[in-house]
Amino acid sequence: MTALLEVNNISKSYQVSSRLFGATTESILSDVSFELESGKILAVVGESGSGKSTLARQVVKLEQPDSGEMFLDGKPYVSIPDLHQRVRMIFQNPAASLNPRKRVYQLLEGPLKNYRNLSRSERDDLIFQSLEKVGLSNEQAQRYPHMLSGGQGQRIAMARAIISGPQVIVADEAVSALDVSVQAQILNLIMDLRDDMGMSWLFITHDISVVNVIADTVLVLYAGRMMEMGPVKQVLESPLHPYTRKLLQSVPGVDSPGNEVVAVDVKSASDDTLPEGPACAYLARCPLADKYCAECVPPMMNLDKHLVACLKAVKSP
Amino acid sequence: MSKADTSTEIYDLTPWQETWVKFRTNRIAALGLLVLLILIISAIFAPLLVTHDPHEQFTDILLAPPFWADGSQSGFFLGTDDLGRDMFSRLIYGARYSLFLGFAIVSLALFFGVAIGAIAGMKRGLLETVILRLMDIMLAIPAILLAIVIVALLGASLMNAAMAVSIVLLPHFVRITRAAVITEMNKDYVLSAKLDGSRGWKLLFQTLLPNISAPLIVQSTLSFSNAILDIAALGFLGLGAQPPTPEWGTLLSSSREFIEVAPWTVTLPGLAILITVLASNLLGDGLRDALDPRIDPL
Repeated sequence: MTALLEVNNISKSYQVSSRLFGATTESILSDVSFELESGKILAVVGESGSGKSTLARQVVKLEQPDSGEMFLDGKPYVSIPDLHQRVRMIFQNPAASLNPRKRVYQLLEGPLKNYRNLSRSERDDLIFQSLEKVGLSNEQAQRYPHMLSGGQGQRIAMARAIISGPQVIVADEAVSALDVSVQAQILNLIMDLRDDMGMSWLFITHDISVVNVIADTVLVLYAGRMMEMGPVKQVLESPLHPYTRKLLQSVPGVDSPGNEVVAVDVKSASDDTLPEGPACAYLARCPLADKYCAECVPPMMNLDKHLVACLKAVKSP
Repeated sequence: MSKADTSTEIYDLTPWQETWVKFRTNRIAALGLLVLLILIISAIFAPLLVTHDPHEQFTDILLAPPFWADGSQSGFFLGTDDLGRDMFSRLIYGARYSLFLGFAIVSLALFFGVAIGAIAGMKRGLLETVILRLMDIMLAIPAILLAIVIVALLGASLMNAAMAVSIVLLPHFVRITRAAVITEMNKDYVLSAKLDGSRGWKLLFQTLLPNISAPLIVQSTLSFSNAILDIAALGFLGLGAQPPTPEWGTLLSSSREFIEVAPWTVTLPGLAILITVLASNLLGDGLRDALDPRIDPL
């Protein structure tokens, strides 16, 4: 089976002006590659500052990566004129991503008006269909975003994403701003939509406990580099990278009262813990690091579809 | 949504309804709005309200005092000026000039200010720098001085004075629009509008402008009072409206030599300017509070 979405070695850096004159560039993503198959859900996990949102911006073509290529259905991004209809995005907080001055109807109408030449009744049909698919009634169409609850708002954002019949939806922390009970509803809705409409999801989250429920494959990012990628079961049950293990330890669980929660280091990747020159990005925080880790960027090793970038992965303790 | 389930709770209101509900609770601002409305109505219906033609000279009744003073003449209840013209009628007609010019000047400055500011905020880069430095230069020159220079270049007339004042007001609108556009451009709802296919002017008018209207409306009401003041000042200096136009600033200057014998000829146009400026400033302050989502009196 060929991949629906193929991302090859994309890198992105931003200019940061550090001093009065002159600017330095800061690398946010480096050499990220993955494949997303049709009808699958790929979760991207990492802490704040790990480049998850930057990755999302490249995939939906809000920005151009500095290097690397992306393919949808085997065609390069540049040759797809209707890419914005085929790859859609859902943002974290519906209160911020829905224009407060527009009614729900106008919000959903936007992509249809801009991308497709439809009559008003055809637009109405599509709008009400997509509202129905996300479990909302037609009455919501005349409301303003601030009249909706967080869960309803995120459903509207999903309705807007699916209205153009996309193949891929990028959900950037789509459930992180919601109550836990509402989170479950939205996660179920994502899986229902996947089953009904057959689209693939790139599900970005900092919450590794959500990944277990929803994803087929998981990609762990740290400081914009891939640490580990593999089928969800393998990665969560037998993580090979020390960073993945740390993320898993930091999940508070209600069902295991004896387990102490281990906090991930207070320092995050965005602090100046990144090594100079070629070395493992996780060097400064890694409990297993030795002199070899400081000498090269660990190559991606493929251990039976389970990829890991760690020199210590093979003889894990 | 049916009428039955429309409650008066604040989160059931449209954004503009919410602003109105907040605005109503501010008594002083509502007073400002009321005064402005009265002024506008009296300017529109001036021919029906006035007791005399504003240009008609009653040469036997020169400098008659207003009704509360000794020696007032019946029929001229705000007195007459040095040429025997009815002050009340001239003031009412003067409201036409001041208010109309205020609106025209602010509309002009708002239109071009938003256009230029939006280009600067959306395009960024070199163009933005050039626009901003130009506006800085305009701001560095005192407003009335700049207006005088422009009128001197264009020639003294009411229309040229109006042009000059709107050029003077322009930089404020440019800067406010640019700053607001830059802030909003990075917000998620603008990003999603971009992903939904809104670009350029469409993005500006449909997505950005409704969300940055609050500071622009406030600046417009405050600029309105500035415009009226500046036009009056230019009129007073003889660079705006020319006599016998009953413009308030011109009324002030043409009667200033009679300040000792007939103080009302100077005081009344001054009061008219004061009341108008005060009312629009109160309205502006009230709107600022009502449009600011961080201030919630309810």
